[in-house]
Amino acid sequence: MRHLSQLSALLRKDILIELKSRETVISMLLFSLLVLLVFNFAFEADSAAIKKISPGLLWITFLFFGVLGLNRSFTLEKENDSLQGTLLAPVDRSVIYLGKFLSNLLFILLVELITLPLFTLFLNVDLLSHIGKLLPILLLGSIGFISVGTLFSAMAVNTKMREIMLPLLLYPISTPAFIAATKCTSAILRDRPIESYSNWLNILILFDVVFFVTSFLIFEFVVEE
Amino acid sequence: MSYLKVRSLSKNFGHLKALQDVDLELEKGKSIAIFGDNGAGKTTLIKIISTLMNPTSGKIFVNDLDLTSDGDKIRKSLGLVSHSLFLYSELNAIENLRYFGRLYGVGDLDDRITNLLGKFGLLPRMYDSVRTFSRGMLQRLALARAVIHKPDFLLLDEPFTGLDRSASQLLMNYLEEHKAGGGTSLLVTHDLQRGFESADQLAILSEGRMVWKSDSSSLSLDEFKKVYSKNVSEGV
Repeated sequence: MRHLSQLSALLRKDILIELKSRETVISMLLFSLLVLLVFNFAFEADSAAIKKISPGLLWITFLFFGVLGLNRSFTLEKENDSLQGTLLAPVDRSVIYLGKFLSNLLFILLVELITLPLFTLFLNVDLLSHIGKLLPILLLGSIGFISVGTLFSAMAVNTKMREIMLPLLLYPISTPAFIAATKCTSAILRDRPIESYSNWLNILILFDVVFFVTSFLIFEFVVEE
Repeated sequence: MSYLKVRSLSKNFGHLKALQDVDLELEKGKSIAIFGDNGAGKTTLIKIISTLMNPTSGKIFVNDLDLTSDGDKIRKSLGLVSHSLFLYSELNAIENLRYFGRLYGVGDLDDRITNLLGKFGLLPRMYDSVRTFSRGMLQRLALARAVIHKPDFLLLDEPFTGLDRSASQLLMNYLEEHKAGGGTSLLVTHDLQRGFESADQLAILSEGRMVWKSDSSSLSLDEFKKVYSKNVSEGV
């Protein structure tokens, strides 16, 4: 019960800060718009090629703005050493990880959901008619990416080049989740049955479980000096 | 019986020995001021006792609880006032205190917050973003944050830094109140006069070693200043 109340306090604090500053969601959304705009000019919207590569483009967009959000996640804790204030309280370190993971997931999923119709609009790829099947993949892909991203964001925040360090650490590790999510998205957009991408789906689920549990357990050692 | 026991505490940062075989004891209800120049290891000592940093070797017991295995229980009874504020600039005073109060599981939180904001003269600014606060107001709010859960053991790391005269007086008053309520405190500072006036015991840390300890009643401020100069200059 104590853990739940602390988790709720951590989550509420992050949401409150975001509601006041709007820095994370707005910057991710603007970045997402810019990426889509670049893709729109780089590729012909009606070409067959874009239908083929659209799942990859979609997940690249998510990875790009996701890093922005993750970078911001612990940067705000750096000012006034606020994270240390939280660490001084009798809070299990894994609860702090969970709070950060959930707030990151919330903000990134929100921007992903806004990006889907924009992606359809800019690149003329119908994502919305597949939304029922796409949403679980979106959630699973984001969970994997954010599990590792939250941990690496906590690690990178104490380095001099944190903006560079996070993608350098995060992109290689999250590649299996990225590929699996792209393959699943591709199969869904081609109206393939679930059996045709179940292996990729299993890889995605396995990635989520392994990296969420690992990050949850080792977060304590990352935040301790 | 000792409330705080520090045994052969050492902390290394690579080749740098920040603390070397530090021993310390403090009884419940007593206060100690630890003095030392910049780089003496004062903040490292506070960080280790407050569970923010792991020691390289040595043991610390707070109220007979081992810091390495009972960190969570010890944190419930600790309050740290530091030159770092540990506050969220985007939030206002009430939101900051509510957040930390919830982490500590403080009962009657709203009453406690109102009481603290009143005590530290922050009620007129309670809905203002902390970003707009002066340094003195930030320090007062940081003190309110540190004591929101009524800690038994107060750790103070250069708490007078940036405080104006009235804020310093508020802090001194609070320390007296804390002591009168049976609270224990450990202050690290290089402000000889304030530290001397506020503590029962005095200690000097030089280059990571505890080089001198005594009761404050056994000498005058002038005598202590001479002792400090001798020990710190010998250490350099």
